[in-house]
Formats: sequence, C-alpha cells, structure tokens
Amino acid sequence: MLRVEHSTIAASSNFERMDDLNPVIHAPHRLKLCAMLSPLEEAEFQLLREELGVSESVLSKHVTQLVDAGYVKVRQGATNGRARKWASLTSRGRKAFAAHVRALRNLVDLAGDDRN
Amino acid sequence: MNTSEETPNPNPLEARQALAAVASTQSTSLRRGIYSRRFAVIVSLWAGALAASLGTGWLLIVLFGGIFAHHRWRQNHTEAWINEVQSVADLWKVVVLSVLVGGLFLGALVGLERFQWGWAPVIAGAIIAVTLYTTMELSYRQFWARVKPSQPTA
Repeated sequence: MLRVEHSTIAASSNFERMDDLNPVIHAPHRLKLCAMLSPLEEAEFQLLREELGVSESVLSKHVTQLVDAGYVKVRQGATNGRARKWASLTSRGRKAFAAHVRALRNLVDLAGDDRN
Repeated sequence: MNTSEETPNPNPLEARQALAAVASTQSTSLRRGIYSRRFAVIVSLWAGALAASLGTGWLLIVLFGGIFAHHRWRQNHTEAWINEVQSVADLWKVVVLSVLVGGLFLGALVGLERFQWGWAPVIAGAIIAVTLYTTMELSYRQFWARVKPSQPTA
C-alpha cells in the first residue's frame, strides 16, 4: 500500500519542477481523479465515485493520498441533513498534474522521434 | 511495483493510454460541470434586475438576495462546478465583459442621477441581461465543442 509521507511530499515537489512523471499522480485512479478535477472548481465525492467506478473507501484512500501530497483539498457540507463532501485541486495540484501530463506527452513524442 | 519514492517508468504505449484516459476523463468532467442554460438565464435576469433597480429601494435586496441564494446553492446543491476561466482567452472575455457591464451600470447611474432619466436603469438592465446571456450561451456552446475527446489539456 502506498504511503505518502512528508519526505515524499518534498520529493514530489522535485517532480513538479522537473516535468518528470509524478509517482503520486501516476497511479491510474489518482491520475483519473486529477483529470476529473482539472477542468472543475470542485466536484462532489458521489460524482467522482460514479465516474471513476470505485467504492467510497477506495476513493477516500486515493483522495487522502492526494491531500497528503498537498494536491487536493476537501470541503464538507450538508444538504437536508445528509453529509456531503467536495474535492478540488489546489494550485499546487494543478501545476503538478500539468507537469505530469507534459511528461507523458514528452515520452510519447520522444518515442515518435526515435521511430523516425 | 512502484512505491511512492520511485519514479514511474511507463513505456510509450502506456503513456499514450494514460493520456487518452486523461482526455476522456476531462471531457466527462466538462460535461458534468458545465452550467445549465437555466442558470445562464437566471444570472442574466439577476444582473439585469440589479441594473434596473438602481435608484430604488430594491437594489440592495436584489444584490444581496442573489449573492446569498447563489452561495447557498453552490455550497450544498451542486455536484460539480466548472472552472469558468480555462485559458487566457477566457480571462480576457471576463475582463471585457466586466468592463462593459460596469460601464452600463455607470451609464445608468449617471443618466438617472444627472439627467433624471428614469428609464436609463431599465434600458441598461435589459442590455446587460441580453449581453450576459449571449456571452454565457456562446461560452456554453464553446465548452460543449471542447468535450469531444482530443488532446488532454494540462
């Protein structure tokens, strides 16, 4: 099970600067989570569960890892007495996700150049 | 298996698949987060009513009532909310629109206070409502054009 500790948060910041693949974001569910949040100001947990096709516990696990890395923040609210949660990317998270996507694109472009 | 300390090392095919997943997910996200036409109508009418109520006792009621209603709705009833400014072009549109609407408000106020034109706020309100709705409708269509899976945006 992945553990994101403070030393990893510092290490993650190196990936954010260097456009290297980010180990925190790269896991498939976390990558899709960041992709889901990137065009939005925030999204409700129920929506994220539906679109990612995961259970509440799996979603919470991945969100917690992103929160620990400083990439996502969570807001709690209530409607008609029912507790609800919304997640949003922090500015650091947006930059880290953008850097990770650029790194993936560079990898694909390099492979294309090698073939040529 | 990668740990949190190791840099992931996908091959180009895996990277391409990851990018495709990102693009597809972003499209889905835009579809879920785009505001509805009904919201655009409500916002446009509220802005128009705000201008039309200049010089009357209704101004503060319309202003704070709208802000409060929007805040309550956003806090507890939306499942997703799109980031309206997604590019530098979007930012410029917001700036230009703000200047235009601000100018209309100012014009209505000057017309009312200086020239005693009682109809100035109503005319300004109508222009603001139509301009705002037109802008939001165009943005709405632009967003829907973007939801086709293509290159992921970073």
